Order: sequence, then structure tokens, then C-alpha cells
Amino acid sequence: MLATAAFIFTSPALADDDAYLKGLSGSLNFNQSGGELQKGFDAAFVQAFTEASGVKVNYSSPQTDFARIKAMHEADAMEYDLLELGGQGDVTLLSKQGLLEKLDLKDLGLDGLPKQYVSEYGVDYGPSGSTLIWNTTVWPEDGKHPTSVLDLFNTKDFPGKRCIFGGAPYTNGILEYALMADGVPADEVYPIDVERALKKLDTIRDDLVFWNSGAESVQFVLDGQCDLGTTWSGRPALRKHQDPDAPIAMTWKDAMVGGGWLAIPTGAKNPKAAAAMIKLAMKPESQAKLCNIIAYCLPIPGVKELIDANMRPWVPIDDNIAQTALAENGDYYAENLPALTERWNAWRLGK
Amino acid sequence: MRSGRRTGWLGLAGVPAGLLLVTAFYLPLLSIGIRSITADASLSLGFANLSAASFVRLAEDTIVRRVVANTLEISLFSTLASIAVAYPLCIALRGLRPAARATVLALVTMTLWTSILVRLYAWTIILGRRGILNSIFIGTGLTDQPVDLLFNTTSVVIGMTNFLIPYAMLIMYPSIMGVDEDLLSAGRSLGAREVKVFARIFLPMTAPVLVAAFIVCLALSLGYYITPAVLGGPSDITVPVFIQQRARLFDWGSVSALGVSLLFVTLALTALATRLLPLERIFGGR
Repeated sequence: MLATAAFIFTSPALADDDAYLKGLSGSLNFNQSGGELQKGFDAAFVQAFTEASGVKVNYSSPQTDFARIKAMHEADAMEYDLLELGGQGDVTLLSKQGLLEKLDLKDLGLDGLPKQYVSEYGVDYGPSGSTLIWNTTVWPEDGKHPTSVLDLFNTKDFPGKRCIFGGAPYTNGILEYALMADGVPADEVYPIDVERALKKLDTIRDDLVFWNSGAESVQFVLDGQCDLGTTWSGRPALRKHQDPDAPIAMTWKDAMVGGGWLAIPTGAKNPKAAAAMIKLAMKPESQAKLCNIIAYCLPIPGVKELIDANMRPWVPIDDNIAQTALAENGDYYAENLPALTERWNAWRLGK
Repeated sequence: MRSGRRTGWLGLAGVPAGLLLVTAFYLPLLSIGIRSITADASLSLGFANLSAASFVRLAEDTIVRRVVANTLEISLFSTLASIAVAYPLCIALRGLRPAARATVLALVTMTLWTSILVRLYAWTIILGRRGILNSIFIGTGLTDQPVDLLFNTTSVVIGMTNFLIPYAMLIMYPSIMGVDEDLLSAGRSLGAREVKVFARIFLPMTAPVLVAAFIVCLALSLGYYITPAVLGGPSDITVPVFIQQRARLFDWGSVSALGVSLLFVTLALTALATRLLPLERIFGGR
């Protein structure tokens, strides 16, 4: 279980104190995933930011390649002021290359956040679960259906194609789930026994279909490309919002929680504005708005109460978070990603 | 080039293009070249910093071998398939009235104006497990279970072929249309059968553009990233996908070495082709 309920975080009284939004100038280039997430950022805090500060925000998407950030840094021509990153691992990976600015956590009012959600170089703008969804025309909710993310490996009860993220062996819990399905307790998953995880993955290899974007992870299950698959918890929420009858259901049981992080690249042209934007984004009101659009937000005091009832099943709070098994260990990945990617590729190629 | 002296000032018209090429292509290419032969993959080209380590690592890497083999296989099959479709199509166009010909050409090149992503996702609708083809298969009783047509090497080749066909056609079309019908008639009047007319007159006359289309399509497909990424299965990792992955992990040495190697392979292919056929005959010479 995650100990998220136990932490103490004093939410900064921001309602009448937005002095930090004054005295800014210029524009702010925000690189992020685009699509629904961009709409969420826009409605949750970007519009308010521009209104209060006069700073125009330019979006770019999708998330930039790290090689590009490094090239910009070397050329001393950083295009971005604010980055949305895939997780704490990415933040550590970039900061180790000297590509991220240190944040003034105290000034941002973030020094009370648990370590899981913040580091010197970035902050989690909204954790999500790497959950399991399935097609309810195949396994109706009132009949036998998957009850844990680990049913990904249960081909006896739930045969058929299964979808997993193909982009990278992290941010989606696939290695963690393989180990847990093989009997490793959740708190002993790290450091990951890669060979054991891949051996477990071999058992479903022939049934695997890879998705590359969050939107695909849901679409493939609806299209019957696979009958069940992993996803990021906000994606089915979005789909259900548009189409309440979409035949998908989701389980939080044994899921891994990861995050999407905000960070400021070294050499950003407008770091002051970027820091102010982070500060605004982390306000409980902004977080709640984000949650009501894309189901990603921090479980900090003052947020939960503001979340709409129909969004709650998809947000990592209360019962949902209580059912999850572990949080992604970003530091592990930042340390081991090159070797892990090699091994993952070799496995994909069939070795 | 023959008239270079008389129209020398015309060369000025090439300056903008030249500047663009140098700054946007040759300089970055040079930096990749340098990074591939320095020990720390940096741009400092000191003598002590020179190293072949990145290339050695590539040569010893069995994963790279698999990835390169995948790339060659996919590129070769897609190139051959696109030419196998485009060449007969161009020949068929000879027999059409100009209006009908323009329509067909427009239909083919229209795919170039459609976003590649839209085209690729269209293929997922056609090839999917509940897709159009599988619906037909199951509806007609051909199979009772959906066939896996998507997310494997076959679907990558299909998507890539779809992407290459307009290029192959645009390259071959002018020359194929330009073959003089009188020459073919002359062959026939001398008693040659259709097969012989094709093999002895038509094919040799269009061979240069066939080779040109082959080279261009192969070069395009060798560096192509998005199709394998969208339509491929677990094992369809190609060189561009691999480069992207490693660049993300800041392994610039091996990425540069791989990029340089890919460039040399493409250059070698071009050189080979031009040995067989002089370049000016391929690219629109007399």
C-alpha cells in the first residue's frame, strides 16, 4: 500500500497572494505531450496564468526528444522554458546531464511535499496509475472479469491479446507487474530482476500488442486489437467522459503509480515565468481543475474535496490509491535505463 | 553545365539553396561525423580525442546486427513491392486518355497530401483484428478466427509500400510515358511478339528509371521512422527507431556512428547503381 494518506502537507494560502504572478514579462514556451493533456493544462492553470501575469504561453508538442534538449543546451539556444516530463526517472536522467535548473522549493511552496512527488529539479504535476483496462463486451462487469493489473499475465482465465506500452520498459509498470505476477512482493520489486521479469513476459509474448500513446491504449481495447491492456488511468476517464457507454472497465488493484513532472531546462529564456507557472499549477484549485479534466492531480489537502464525483473512480485517491501496490522508483530507472533499454530491445528482437 | 560560361550569373540563383544546404544539412552532418569519431562523442576534434570506439562497439553489438538486418529486410521488400505496383501502373497509364491519366495520377499523388499518420492509422482500421479485411475473411467463412495482419513485419511492409508508391510513380512516370510508341510498333512490325518487345525495347529503355526509383525508394525507406513505430510488432525495431531510442539515452557516440554508417550504406548503394548506369541517365539527363 502507498503511504500517501499519511504525509503532511500544508497547502500554501494562495487565494489572495498572487504577487508572484506580477512583474513578469515576455512569453513562455511550454513543451508538453499535447492533445488532451494540453487542453487540461490550458483550462487548469495556463489561461489563468496568462490573465494574471500578461505572459503569453506558447505550446509545443509532443514531448521533446531529450537529445534535442541536449543539443539546444550545447548550442546555447534553449527554446523551452517549461518541460513536461514522463516521470521522476526522466527528471533525474536530465538533471544528471546538467539540463535542468534547480527549483527553489521553498519559494514555490513545495518543500512540504513528500519526496515521491518532488525533487530538487522537478515536481509531479499529477500522478496517475498504470492500470489495467478490459473490454466489457468480452468480460462483463457482472460476470467473471479481471480484478487485478496482474491478470495481464493470467492467460488461463483471460485468454486473448493483451496490450502493453511499447515505447520504453518504464513509466508503465510492465517489469514490475511481471515480477509481482511471478510472486515477488511489491516492496521487493526494486532493484528489478530483469531476467526474471522478461522470463515471465515470455509467457505472454505471443499475445502482446504494443501501444505507443495513451490514446491508443484505450482505442486498441475498444477496437478489439486486444481484450485487455495496461493504460494510464486518465485515458479511460477521458474516453468515458466523451462516451459514457464505451465498453471499458478499469482496475486499480496492484497498479503502479507514476507521475508526470514539470521542470525548467537549463538556459531557459524565461525561468522566472516558468517558476511562477509551476507555483500556480501546484495550487490546490489548479490541481483540482486538472483532475476534473484529465483525472491527474496530486492527492494534497484541498484538492480531493474539489474533484467531481464522476471523475473520482479514475483519480488516484482514496480507495483507488489504497488498492495500488507501489510507486515507480524513478531513481532506479535514471540509474539503469541505458542497460535496461538494451536488454528490453534484445528481448523484443527475440533473444 | 556546358553553357556555364555564357550563363554564369545564373549560378547566383543557386546561392540561397546552397546556403540552406550548408547550414541545415552539411554542418549538422559534419558534427555527427565528428561525434562518431571522438572518444567522448563531443565536437572537440583534438588528436588525443580521436577514437574508433563507437564504431567498434557497433560492430560488436549483436542487437545492432539484428536491427540492421530488420531494416534492410523491411526496406528491400517495401521498395520491391512499391516498384512492382508502380511500374505496371505507369505502363497502364500509357493506354489511357489524358483526362483519365490525370485522374489516376491525381489519385496516386493525393496520398502525398494526406498526413502520414492518418494513412498509417487507416491501415490499422483495414488490417485490425476487427478490421475491414478480417470482417470479410470471417464473413465469407474463410477463417473463423481473426487473422493477425497488424503489428508485424507484414503490416510494416504494407504501410511502407503505401508510402513509397507515389514516389516510385513520380520518378518513373515521365520516362515511361516518353517511350516512343513508334519504336514498339517497329519491333512488332519486324515480327517480335509482345513479350519480346517488352524485354528487348521497353524494359531497356525504362531500366534507368527503374534503378532510379529503386535507389530513391530504398534510401527513403532506410531512414524511415514512423511506419515501423506505428505498424510494427515487438521485433520490428529498425535503425531509425533504434537511433531515436539511444539518442534519448544520450548515447551520442553510437548514435552518430550508426547514422554515419547508414549514410555510407546509402551512398554505397547509390555508387553501385551509378556504376551500372551513369547518374545523368538516371536523373533526367539525355
